[in-house]
Amino acid sequence: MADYSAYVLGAYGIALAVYGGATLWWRIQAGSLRRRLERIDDHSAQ
Amino acid sequence: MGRLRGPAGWATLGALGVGLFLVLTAPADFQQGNSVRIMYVHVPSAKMALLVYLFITIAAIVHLWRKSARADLLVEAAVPVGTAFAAVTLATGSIWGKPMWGAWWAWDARLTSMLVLLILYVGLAALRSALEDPVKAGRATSVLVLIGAVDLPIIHFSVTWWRTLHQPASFKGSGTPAIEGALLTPLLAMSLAFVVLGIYLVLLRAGLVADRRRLEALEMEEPTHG
Repeated sequence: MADYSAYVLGAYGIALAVYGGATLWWRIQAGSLRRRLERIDDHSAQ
Repeated sequence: MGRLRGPAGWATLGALGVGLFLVLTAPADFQQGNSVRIMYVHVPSAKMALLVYLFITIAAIVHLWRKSARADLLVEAAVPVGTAFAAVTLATGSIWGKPMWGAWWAWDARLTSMLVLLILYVGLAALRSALEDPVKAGRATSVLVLIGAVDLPIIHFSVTWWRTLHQPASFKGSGTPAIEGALLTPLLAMSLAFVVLGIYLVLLRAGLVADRRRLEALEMEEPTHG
């Protein structure tokens, strides 16, 4: 019976890249937006 | 919603940890060998691609019916999440298909209807970004969501309506599962983990979209911000 481990690694690699990459990218975007909003809030409070 | 994001993130990590442990310790299939492990990421991704579309369909109905801005926000937040699930479904299915079917792709009813779903997801994001007026963009997107919802039963029943290369459902809502218990446990665990992952990603994106809308509103009031 063939092992097919390379296919399994490929499939999990793609899943990790897509889900991990998307999570990281959206977290970075969310953090950046939050900081911009905080700066505006601070600016408005002064 | 923002308060739930942290717990959902930790729950995702925990559920994926348990799921991946069960995937690694599950036996190989007597015919498919280790390639059966691709199923543990492929099937949950496919279920989530459909579930997210069902979610945005309900949100689109609420948006159009009640003119709810929050429902529109949820549609905008969830579309890229569904895109990711649909893309991984097709990629992992293709990787599994090569050793098992001898082909990366076949114009089979299940595969083609899933490809239509991915194109729909991409089209929804493209439509929203193509229209400048956010109200019109939201309404047009919700209408397209409802038109595209016709693909959901086609995907679900494609393996019973047509003679397809794709095998029938591995587990159904009722009746005996068509899969051995030792292989079913990790599949159920990964399915649960992907549901939690989907919830986390939608919450993460909902916060992001809400902040972006607030920032755009502030910039409209006073263009010097930024």
